[in-house]
Amino acid sequence: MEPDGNYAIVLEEVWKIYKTGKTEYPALRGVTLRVKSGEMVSVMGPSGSGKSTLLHVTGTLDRPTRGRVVLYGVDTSGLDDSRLSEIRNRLIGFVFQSYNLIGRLSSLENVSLPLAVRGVPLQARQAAALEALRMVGLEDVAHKKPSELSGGEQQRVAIARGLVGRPKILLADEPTGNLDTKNTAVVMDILRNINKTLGTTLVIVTHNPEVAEKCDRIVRLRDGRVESEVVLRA
Amino acid sequence: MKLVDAVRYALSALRERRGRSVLTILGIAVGAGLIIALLSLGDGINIVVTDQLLTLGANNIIIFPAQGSNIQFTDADVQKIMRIPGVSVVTPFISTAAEFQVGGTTVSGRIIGIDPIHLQIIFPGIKILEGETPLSTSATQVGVGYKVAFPPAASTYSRLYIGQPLTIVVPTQSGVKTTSYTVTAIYDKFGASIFFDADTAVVMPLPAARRLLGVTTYQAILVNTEKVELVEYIISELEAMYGRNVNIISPSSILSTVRGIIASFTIFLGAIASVSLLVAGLGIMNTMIMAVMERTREIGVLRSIGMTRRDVLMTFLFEAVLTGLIGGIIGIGIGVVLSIGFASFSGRFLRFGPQFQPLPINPVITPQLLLEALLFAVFVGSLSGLYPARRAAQIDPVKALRTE
Repeated sequence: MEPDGNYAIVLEEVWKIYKTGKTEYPALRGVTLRVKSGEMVSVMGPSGSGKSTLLHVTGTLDRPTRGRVVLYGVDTSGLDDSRLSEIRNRLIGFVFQSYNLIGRLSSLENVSLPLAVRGVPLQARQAAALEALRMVGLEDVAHKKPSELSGGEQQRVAIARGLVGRPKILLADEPTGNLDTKNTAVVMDILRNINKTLGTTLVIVTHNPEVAEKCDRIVRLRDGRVESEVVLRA
Repeated sequence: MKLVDAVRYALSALRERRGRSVLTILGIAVGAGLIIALLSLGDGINIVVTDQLLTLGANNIIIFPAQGSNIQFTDADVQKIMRIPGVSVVTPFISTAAEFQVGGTTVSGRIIGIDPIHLQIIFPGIKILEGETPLSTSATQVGVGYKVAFPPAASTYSRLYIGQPLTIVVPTQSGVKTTSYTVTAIYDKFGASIFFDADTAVVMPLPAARRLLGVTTYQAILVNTEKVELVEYIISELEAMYGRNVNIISPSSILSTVRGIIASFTIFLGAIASVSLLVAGLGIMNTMIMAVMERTREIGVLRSIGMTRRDVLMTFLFEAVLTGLIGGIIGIGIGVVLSIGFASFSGRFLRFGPQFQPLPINPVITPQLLLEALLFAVFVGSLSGLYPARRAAQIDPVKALRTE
């Protein structure tokens, strides 16, 4: 087996146990998963199988109860809030099912927000945000607010926000879950394109088999464990 | 995240909930404005009262028999007090209400029996308009106040001239006594001090006054000290001399008492205004807590794009600080308008002196006061933002992203 440093993402025996009062609920029960740099992986599985938790733990939004998460050779266990935040800001981009754009901000402001957090000067981040909007084909809605956009457009703006900081990993949680067939195809083309042209590693949680088929590999979860893996493209 | 971007982000949130922001800002503005208005008015009243009291002469001490005591001041007392070190002038005086017949009209006022050369002690800076100071030893000469010489009710032809006789009517136990005196001095307009109105007074040398009133004793003794700093010492000497048989009043000791009262009253009012500002702070806290609840999902998004807990804390804290800052700035405007408005309004009701003339109050609005009020508003803003901002920072991003 190759050393961990050669992988974009390494999950090793990852457990996540949620506690509500005295009852414990294990969302992940010893997941081990390796994702190569530049790979596009889909994660499938029934509701409650731990897909979203896997994504959150991978994205350092949540800490595993046991096990290790290593991103591009960096072991994230034991890092403090500011280091983890920096990893999220520089290494990771998120795309959510319900877009999660900030309603009062224009598309351009939404997209440039991660760079504002990074401390990039205003003009530089606006230029980068425009470039990201161009990549998702929406530079002409830069000054529109989310409420003035269609669902498909909002999700493309959200993808632009995810990739504006040029992260090495893009984590998408049901990115097409709220979209119709046509917009699903558009969004998947964009994600595939990002993966190809920028070499971004993608992990896409989905229920949609058509979405999963566009990926290099399908990982199936059940009851917090990896049930099966299918490699579609090597 | 850079400070300027955190501020920009906070501003966008304030703009989004414009209605609520305006209300909380107004609450702060009113509180800060009240502080400015009440403190500046307090200082203004302090200055007016100080000026009034100083017209009595800061170096003066007035000593008169206490109620119920049978002490009577004579020339022997004058001599005794004169020997206290630091005393420059001792002048006894007698005063009584009287009526002065001028031309065809009658002016009501007071006779002030005093050595005319020491008149400056009661009316510092009083000037002679016409004539010369009556002789200290005279039994017939008097000086008259401006309104006695020029009675407001009479026609311009019936004024008094130097050398003319003045008829004075004083009440006695057996009715009234009418006597005529020669006017040798007319004093210029002076106005009123706390005790006497100079303009309706007739200044009479002591021998004349004693004979007119049929007394050999004095009602009070005025003691003028060489320096203001000696007032306290001389008062203690007088207390040692007379004990509880006399009352001793000095403008400078009244002044320190009155100033103390005004200062504590001003602090009291300022404290009430501060409470209103603190209550407005509760308003900020309330809107901020609501904002944190409403924007829980947004907080999750912000954390997912790399904001640290500290960044989240700062952006929410800045919303509260900006509310305080904007409220404070508007409060400065409100405070200035309020204090000027209050001053012109209350000046008509705050009356002083024997004639209760209205006192003009000029509110003391200093840059320091405005800055302090502004800083206080910002402080209240940050204080009330602290708890909601901490709550925002501690929200679990995963739970936040799941919130509907």
